[in-house]
Amino acid sequence: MSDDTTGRPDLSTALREALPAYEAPAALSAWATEQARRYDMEAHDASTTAPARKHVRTLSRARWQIAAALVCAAALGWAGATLRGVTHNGSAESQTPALSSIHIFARYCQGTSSTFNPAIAIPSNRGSRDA
Amino acid sequence: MVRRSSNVESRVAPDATTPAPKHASEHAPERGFERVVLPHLSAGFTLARYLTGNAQDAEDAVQDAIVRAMRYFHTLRGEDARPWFLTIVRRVCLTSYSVDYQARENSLSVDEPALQLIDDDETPDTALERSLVRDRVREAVDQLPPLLREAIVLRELQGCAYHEIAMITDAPIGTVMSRLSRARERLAVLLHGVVDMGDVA
Repeated sequence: MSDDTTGRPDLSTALREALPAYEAPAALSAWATEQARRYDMEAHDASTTAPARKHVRTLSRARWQIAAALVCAAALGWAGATLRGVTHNGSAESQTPALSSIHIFARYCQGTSSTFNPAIAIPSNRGSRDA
Repeated sequence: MVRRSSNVESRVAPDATTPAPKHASEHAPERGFERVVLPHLSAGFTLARYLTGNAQDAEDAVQDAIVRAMRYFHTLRGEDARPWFLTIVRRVCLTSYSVDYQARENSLSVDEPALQLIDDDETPDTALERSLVRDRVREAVDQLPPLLREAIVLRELQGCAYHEIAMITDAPIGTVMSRLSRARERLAVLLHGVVDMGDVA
């Protein structure tokens, strides 16, 4: 665009005319195209053939064992507390289920579970109360 | 390297050709490198040409930039890859091709097109006058400090927006505007009577 009054080009026009924009050389374009296609093909293959890796939280073997032991303890404790409540007819309030579960789990871990008898396993203060 | 012998080969690691795509699953085929980046190859080459001052270094710099762009393609956000790619080209020129922004070692080396008439109405005299104006403008741009020259080339030649120039040159947008203003003021002085500077001067 040139100024109508002076006939001189404005700065932008003069700059664009003086400083040409260059086309990338053919050899460079060909090389870049080849590399880009190869890159895209590898990216495409990777996205379609390889299963997308999902980030799933998994526990280690040791943690699984601990978790399983805790679940067993809770279950045994609950069962023990229930049995105790049935056996002693409601006197279970003298020992909390949590404490019962700890006692039972401790015995269980000592290997007495094979001869497990809730009536023996659960210490009771009933006798002293009765006395 | 596939391409003909080039001194880029010594600078780019042997395994750097076609770097393995990182996070390939993020690259949908429709967002391929070829479609997103390669349309800006000539823009990158033009910038490198003006920064390095010669065609061979520019070619090597763009080749180097392509390899780097592939490596960091996963970092590209959005579809407009031009400022992103020009940023890489500029950094390559800066780090590998001794573009010295403090000194003024590199100067413009423009392939001079043959004198030609742009339309039927133009006389040889006006064509000659146009050629002289072109020479004067080139000389004036060549006298600009590299940072100002870079800003004016990106703005006037590449048509970059201010924020794009800021991203490419890694400078605040205020600095970019200041550089452009100073570049235009200097050009106004150097090209007084040659081009119409409007209200710049």
